[in-house]
Amino acid sequence: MATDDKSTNVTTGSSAKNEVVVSAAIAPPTTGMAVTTNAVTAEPPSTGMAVTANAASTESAATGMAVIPNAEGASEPICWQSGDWQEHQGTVPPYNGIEVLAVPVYGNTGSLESVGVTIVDYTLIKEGAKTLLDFTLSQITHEKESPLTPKTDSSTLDGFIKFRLLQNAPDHALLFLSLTYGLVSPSNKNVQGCILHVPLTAL
Amino acid sequence: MTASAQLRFVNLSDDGGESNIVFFQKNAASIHGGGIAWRVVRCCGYRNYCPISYSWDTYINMVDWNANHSERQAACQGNVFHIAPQRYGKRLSVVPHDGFPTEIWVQNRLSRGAVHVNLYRSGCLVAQQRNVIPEQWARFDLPHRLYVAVMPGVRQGEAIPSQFLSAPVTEFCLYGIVSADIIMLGGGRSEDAVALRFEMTNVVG
Repeated sequence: MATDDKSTNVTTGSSAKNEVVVSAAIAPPTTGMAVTTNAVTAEPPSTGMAVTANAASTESAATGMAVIPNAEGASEPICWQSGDWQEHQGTVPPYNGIEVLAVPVYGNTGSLESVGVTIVDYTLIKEGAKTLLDFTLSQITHEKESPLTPKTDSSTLDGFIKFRLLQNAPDHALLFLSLTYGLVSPSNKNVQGCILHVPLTAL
Repeated sequence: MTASAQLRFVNLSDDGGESNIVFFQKNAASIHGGGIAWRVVRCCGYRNYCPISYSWDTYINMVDWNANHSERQAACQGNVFHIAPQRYGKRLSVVPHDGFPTEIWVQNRLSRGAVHVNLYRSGCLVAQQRNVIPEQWARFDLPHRLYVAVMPGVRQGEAIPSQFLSAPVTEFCLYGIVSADIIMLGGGRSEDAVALRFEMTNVVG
């Protein structure tokens, strides 16, 4: 299975501000680098602190196994950010892109019971407008679509998300989304596809 | 894991087969956000399709100031390459250093002379760092996300002109996908014409 480099674990219960910090941590190391406009840097990037600090998240991205249940059955959330995500928020709308956080919950037997999905839209609000969805195991296995609320004053999300079962890896489910967000057309964004996966049994 | 995702671009639009559809990726390590037209679909008629193989692997090479290309080498995330002089000319070789795990790094270690560094996916140029001068590093970070947009006049392998960077673009996330169709809808010539749009369907993971 291919892995998306931008999927990684974040700390449970992190605020929107903290999530931004985490995203900065997985971004390319910039400390001490002289970056020019064509992303060529004059200093060796081998000593950047960010590299060491991200060993854990990188491992999860490399293996694609980003979910590690804790003792209570709830897992560390998996985080995905849209392609227009910026390390530093803008000062005017759109402040940033969107983040999707998924928190799988496993039962005592280690089987998946549900997945809580939070979509945070940073288009109009600096702190992010959160949309919360909860997928039961039945909804996951039946690949039931969850429509996202039409555009509101705070959220610009419009579309749906659902889980898809993998044919090649039947013990995993992929989170598939198809949505638009951002400022009004034609500058709004359209993102589709599979963004992260959840094991159906605890590791 | 399959070596590539098999995609099909399917034209279900009413564009008359006249659109120039560009598939590209963004180098997340590049601050200007430009891209290379990785694959370009042209003259694709109604209900016709164009197969696009998206290899999970990438290859790298360098081009010197005399337009000499080095051999392409497999380049994985975390790899570090050096461009160094050898007895005749110069060579691009991977070195046993840990780089940033999601990126590919290349340093020009020549005493003089700038080089271009190219990254290829499925045999086609997907990213490029131009004029990497001695001591500088080129960095590539290409998440498995494919962008598609209609860009008249853009040719495969060329840099996407800046005027298209703010154009409507659809982002497709290929994480875990084995095959999928990317269909183009919309178009038209009358008062009912609508904007062209892209959707991913028939996803197999």
